[in-house]
Amino acid sequence: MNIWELIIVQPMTNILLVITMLVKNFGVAIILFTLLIKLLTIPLTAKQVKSRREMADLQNDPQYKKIMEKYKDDREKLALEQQRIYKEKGISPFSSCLPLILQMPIIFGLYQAIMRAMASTPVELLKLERIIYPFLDVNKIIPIQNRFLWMDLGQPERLYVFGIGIPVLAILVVLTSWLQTKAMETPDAGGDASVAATTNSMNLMMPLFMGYLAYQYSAGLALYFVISNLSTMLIYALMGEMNWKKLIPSKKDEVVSKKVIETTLISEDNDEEVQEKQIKSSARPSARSAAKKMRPKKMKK
Amino acid sequence: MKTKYLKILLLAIISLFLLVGCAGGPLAQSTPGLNANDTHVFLSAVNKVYKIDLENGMEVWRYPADNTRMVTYAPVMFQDEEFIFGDMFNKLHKLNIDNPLQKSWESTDAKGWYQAKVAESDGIVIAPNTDRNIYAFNSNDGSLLWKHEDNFAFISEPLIIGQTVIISSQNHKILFLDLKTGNEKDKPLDMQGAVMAAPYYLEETGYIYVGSLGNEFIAIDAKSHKIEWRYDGSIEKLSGIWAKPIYLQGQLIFNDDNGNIVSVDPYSGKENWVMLEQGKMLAGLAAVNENSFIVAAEDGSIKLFDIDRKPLLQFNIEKATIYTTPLVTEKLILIAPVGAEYTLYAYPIETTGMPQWTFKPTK
Repeated sequence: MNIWELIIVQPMTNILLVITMLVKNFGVAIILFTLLIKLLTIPLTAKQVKSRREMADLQNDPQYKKIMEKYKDDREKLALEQQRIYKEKGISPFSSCLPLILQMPIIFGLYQAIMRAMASTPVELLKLERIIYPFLDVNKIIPIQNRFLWMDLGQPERLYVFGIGIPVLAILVVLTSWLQTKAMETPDAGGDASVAATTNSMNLMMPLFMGYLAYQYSAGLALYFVISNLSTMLIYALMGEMNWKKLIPSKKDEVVSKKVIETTLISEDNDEEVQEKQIKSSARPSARSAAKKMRPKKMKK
Repeated sequence: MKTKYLKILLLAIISLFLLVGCAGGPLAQSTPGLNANDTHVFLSAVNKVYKIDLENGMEVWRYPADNTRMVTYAPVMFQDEEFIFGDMFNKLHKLNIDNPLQKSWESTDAKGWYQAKVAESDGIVIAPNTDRNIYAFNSNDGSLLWKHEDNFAFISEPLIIGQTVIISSQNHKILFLDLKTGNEKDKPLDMQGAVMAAPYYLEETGYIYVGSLGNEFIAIDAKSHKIEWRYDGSIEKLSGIWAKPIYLQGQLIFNDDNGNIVSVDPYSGKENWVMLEQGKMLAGLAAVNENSFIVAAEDGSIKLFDIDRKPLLQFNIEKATIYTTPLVTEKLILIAPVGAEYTLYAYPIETTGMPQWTFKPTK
């Protein structure tokens, strides 16, 4: 067993199995385990959100924009100026990445633990048997009750309606992934049309890819994806980072997005001042400002 | 507003079509399935069944020959000029041995994977499935005769003695079902752990032998379905037992997954000898001839012993992990590892460790 298995996968698998033993249902255990991990990683998420806000605010700062424009042809100078501003404002550009990097092993471990515990073939069961801690009774753990609602969590999920197998969970994975990426989209792409296009295509491709995995692999994994997406959305919503407006679009939004494109097209020809005005008028609201806009509405209710 | 909702709806529909249409099939880690008749070996590996000539290792045919989607690891079962096997697309196939395109029937009644070899008796095919059912089909037309449901997936080969189907259950039980109706003929026999190994019947003693993950190996009277004896030898705690035992010259020999190999008297369960920790092994033992047997460990090492535990030969398949029990034919020892250079290795019975031929599917 390698170090990764020993310090991440094995403990997480055993925790998942203990939860399964307690609740006597693997589906419920996956849900609880996913929520538990999400709760434990909230401090990291909060840190990430805070850094992201600071960066977003900075990018909308007129002084920062001025400097960006001023030194756009001198990369070295631009880098130096950026460093100075970061220092002045006490921002670290990597601090939003660090919590994400720290979360990665936990997320991968969680995924692998669930995959391990959903053993369906003799080889997979053998491998599971071997990573169960000696103080746990293998005979109380294996076999794992994979039945949850209409699903067999160890196998790809299909809900049979009139003999047709519908991959309900895979569809839910696509939808929740799309909702999540859409509502948590980085608030400002700097008005760059190509960046926006890449983001849009990623926002579409990632949910499809996740759905493909959910369709191919065991239902337990798909269940984890759905719960993970929903809990992430909830956590971000509680932190005021969900831009629900993106999911409930209005005509105003469509006009705004058209303006973004127009701004990008004309920005190169206009002088600094004009450009600044246009950016101000067309920039999509940051998550923070969107959240602020939403708050009074809630209070009115 | 409406456009956005239409987009969401369109996305859902596209994803549904993409998921249903483009998916390659279920993904699971399993082990190649092996079975042979007098002239050919049939290898079930990943997405094909291969018919291979025992003389020279040449592929005769593969099924499906085209890119039709299928995943299978279950060994085939022969029935006259046909063979039956199940796949992980929830289908059971009965095909002609010489020309697999001549299909007798195909069943799509099950909702889960077929992982084990099926059994047949009196024109009834018994097929365990991971959807927690054991299915019985009419061998002639594939029509469903009955199904018996339990709480957990069935993944081991059933045994049929007379009119009784005996099957291992992960639910810490051995089930005894009526071949014709699927009803319980007797109360299930409680075991101490999940039973993964297929039961083994020895006509000479009239006992059924089986081990479980609950540190036990037992003999069951095939008539009364009561436990006759339980292994209580020098190994204080057996590890999980995943494979059937073998019978050689009055000795019943079994192994656990820690590589402990035990020989007992089949009537009394009294221990003859033990060999400790011969390497981690999921695969079972295979009798090579009347005096020797072969042990294939997970690490790719293959050992040949005589009936008195004397080592005869040891060799290794490079980079191999072996989970499948070796198959011994009249002239060959067949080993199907995973991760090795070849998918199938054939060694002569009087082996020196040099394969007679190897097989690797061509693209």
